[in-house]
Amino acid sequence: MIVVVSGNLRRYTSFEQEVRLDATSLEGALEALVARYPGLRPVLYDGDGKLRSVHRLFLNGELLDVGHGDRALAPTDELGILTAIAGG
Amino acid sequence: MPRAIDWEEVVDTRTFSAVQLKPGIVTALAWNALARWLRTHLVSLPELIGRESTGLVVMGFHLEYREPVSFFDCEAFRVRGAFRMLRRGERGQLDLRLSSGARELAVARLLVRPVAIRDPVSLGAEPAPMPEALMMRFEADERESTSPARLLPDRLATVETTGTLLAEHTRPFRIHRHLSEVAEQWSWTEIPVLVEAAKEDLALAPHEHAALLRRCLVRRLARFDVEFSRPFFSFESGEIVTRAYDVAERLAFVHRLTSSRGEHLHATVVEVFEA
Repeated sequence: MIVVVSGNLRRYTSFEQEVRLDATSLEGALEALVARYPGLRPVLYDGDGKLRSVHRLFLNGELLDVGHGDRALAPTDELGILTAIAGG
Repeated sequence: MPRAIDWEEVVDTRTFSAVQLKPGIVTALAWNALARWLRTHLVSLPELIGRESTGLVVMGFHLEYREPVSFFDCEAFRVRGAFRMLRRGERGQLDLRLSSGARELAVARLLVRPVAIRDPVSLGAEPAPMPEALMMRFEADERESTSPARLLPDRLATVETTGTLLAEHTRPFRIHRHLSEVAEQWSWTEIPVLVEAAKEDLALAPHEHAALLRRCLVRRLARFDVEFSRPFFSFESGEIVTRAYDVAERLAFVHRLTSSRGEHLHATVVEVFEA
């Protein structure tokens, strides 16, 4: 599956926009992403290990609800992470 | 009267095109006017963002050219900007005026929305009113409860429903760093640069209406309106879909800036030229 990273977050993925990962769940994909790019972990997650509310997740182009929970992913799925309204 | 800032801007060869004061110069002046106003009367933009965790997201910009002025008859002009909060701190509006002596070159309105920055590293933010501690520093006539008027929808409708479609063109673009700002997203001030390239490509292409379309290269732009829907981030690619219209013998262009796959609208621009 592919994780698509945008904006300010790309500086933490060596400016790669699309990151190909072997993950079968949403939580697994995010964990694999921050394992590959450790600098991304404090940006994505708060001190309690929760995804910061300023980041929105899109699965195959559809916005996931805030309380989306974990879900299974297919090999062809595309998970997008978008920072909502970057300040400045 | 709301407090204003003003300064004299000295003209150089980039300030004007062969036809008029460039809209990209006016957008840059408008943004700098807001930065100067904030620094003078509130806090500087770096302080606002870094210490007060408050950002300002641009929602719309509306420019009207007034008296025709060329490079050779304007060695400097005054920039004057006044800023006030609307809708009880949920919106802000900068009113800009450019003048040279008794001549009014252009007026513009910039509409912004405060956001609360939740993460100082990514600058991720959420809509929120201007913090009360900062609102208290605005004077009484700089704080209004009314909402600002949206100008673009009616202007867009006028062009698209009463105008005759002449041509259409799609131009890809990428938001490189030179088009970006500190938060790694496009700088709104660069919108005129992006749409001018699309418009000129359309005008210069061989076309049955080429002579009419090329008026945009010699006639003065009368009005420039833009409304923003969502940002483009740095290094992202998109497309500008440009349509040219004849509206009662005035040339008009509608530009829609979309994501590369066309699934998201990021901004809409309406340009109307003098007859």
